[in-house]
Amino acid sequence: MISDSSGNPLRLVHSERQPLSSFEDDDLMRLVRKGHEGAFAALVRRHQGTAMQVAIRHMGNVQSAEDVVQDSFLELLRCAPKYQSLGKFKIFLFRIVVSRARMAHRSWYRARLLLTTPPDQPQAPVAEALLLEEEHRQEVHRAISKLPERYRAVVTLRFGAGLSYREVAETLQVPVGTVKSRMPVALARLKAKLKGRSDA
Amino acid sequence: MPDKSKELMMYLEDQLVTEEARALEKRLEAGEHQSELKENRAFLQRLRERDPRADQVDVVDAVLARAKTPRTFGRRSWRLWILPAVALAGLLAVIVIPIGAPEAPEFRAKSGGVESALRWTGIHVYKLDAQNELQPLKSLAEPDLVQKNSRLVFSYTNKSPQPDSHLMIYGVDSQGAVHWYYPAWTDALSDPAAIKIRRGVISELLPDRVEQPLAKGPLSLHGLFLNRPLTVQTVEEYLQKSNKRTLSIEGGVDVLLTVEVR
Repeated sequence: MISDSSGNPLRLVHSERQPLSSFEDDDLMRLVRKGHEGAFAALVRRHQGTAMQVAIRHMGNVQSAEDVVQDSFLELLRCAPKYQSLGKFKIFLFRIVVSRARMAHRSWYRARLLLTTPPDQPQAPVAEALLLEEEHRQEVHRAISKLPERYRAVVTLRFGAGLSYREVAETLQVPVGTVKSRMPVALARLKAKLKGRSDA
Repeated sequence: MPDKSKELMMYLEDQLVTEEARALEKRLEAGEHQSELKENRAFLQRLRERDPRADQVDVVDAVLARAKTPRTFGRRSWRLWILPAVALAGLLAVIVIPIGAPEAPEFRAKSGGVESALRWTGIHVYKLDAQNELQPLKSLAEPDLVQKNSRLVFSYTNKSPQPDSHLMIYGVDSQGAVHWYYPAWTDALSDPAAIKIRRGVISELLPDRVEQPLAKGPLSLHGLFLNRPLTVQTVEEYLQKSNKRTLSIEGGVDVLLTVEVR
């Protein structure tokens, strides 16, 4: 047996570092606060998909949604010192995403884009069924993006990010009851809008 | 929205209070509201459908690039992206771990004092052979013999007229990744400090046999002898700023192990 100078057997140490992808959000944010670029990249990678799902429902098109998401993560970085590690990273992030989406939505330029930008076109020839599917999806997102702000936010967070009603309320900093009263109104308007289009 | 439709929608959203939900379920079981239930269910499903285009977007590089403008991302990075010293070490003789090499040809130490007991300050590195015996690394094998998860053991000599009090041992692999042997650093959230060492000793064996996921190619091993306990993150900051093969730290001596095969 191999021993050290004191006669103790050598310990076997597995010194492989835990990959960042296995860290909890709060732990990654602690590293981000220390300037850890890899931790920030890991957070972006982990949450960009859902952030895009929220943003695309807010904005109605991929291009604008991507801009919103980029701006949101940069804002996250700037706000990292304010983040308190209480296990509520998603709330923190989506609050930023909704805020950024609202700003983008309000700006005159974005409003003009929404009116004049044609539907997102597929990049390559696709089967007709897929085209139809994509068209229906875009229709839904455009309909959501045209809801009044207070209804749009609850719908995008609930159906884009999959947040619970309580989480939606916390993100928007309103009572749960407010979300519960806004949701059926939002859904009714959407349903009517989409039904009207399909009936046409 | 008619109350009935609103009620169905909130039922599907699981937002009805228990009594209301039970009353509705009774009506549904009796066959009422079936087509509307189906319609609302399909509608909610449409809202939930993920857009695959959104899932394909990758903003990581763009965000990082924008973040690196000084006013938005002015903090240090711990990660060594490029280490010119490694590139240089790749051209010069460095220790290459010859795992599985049947013969260990003789070597001549250029610096680092693996063989010479006359050196006052140095680290010595060993690998474990098939019989679990320590074999001092003393050869430069072909680069393709470097393997992951090699188990290394270290000893140190600290016998200068003014011996140091602390030691750190790290390796820099061909990808520029820094692997810490001493102190052990397995948790990126921690910031361990240099280990204490004994003064006046020769080839004092350190207690761990350490496995590291090393990249194939040259590996330069550094023994940083210090008169005070620096931490891992402090040294990594120095490494990032330094473009030399060894660090110049006040109160410290960086011993780089280089080996040349004859």
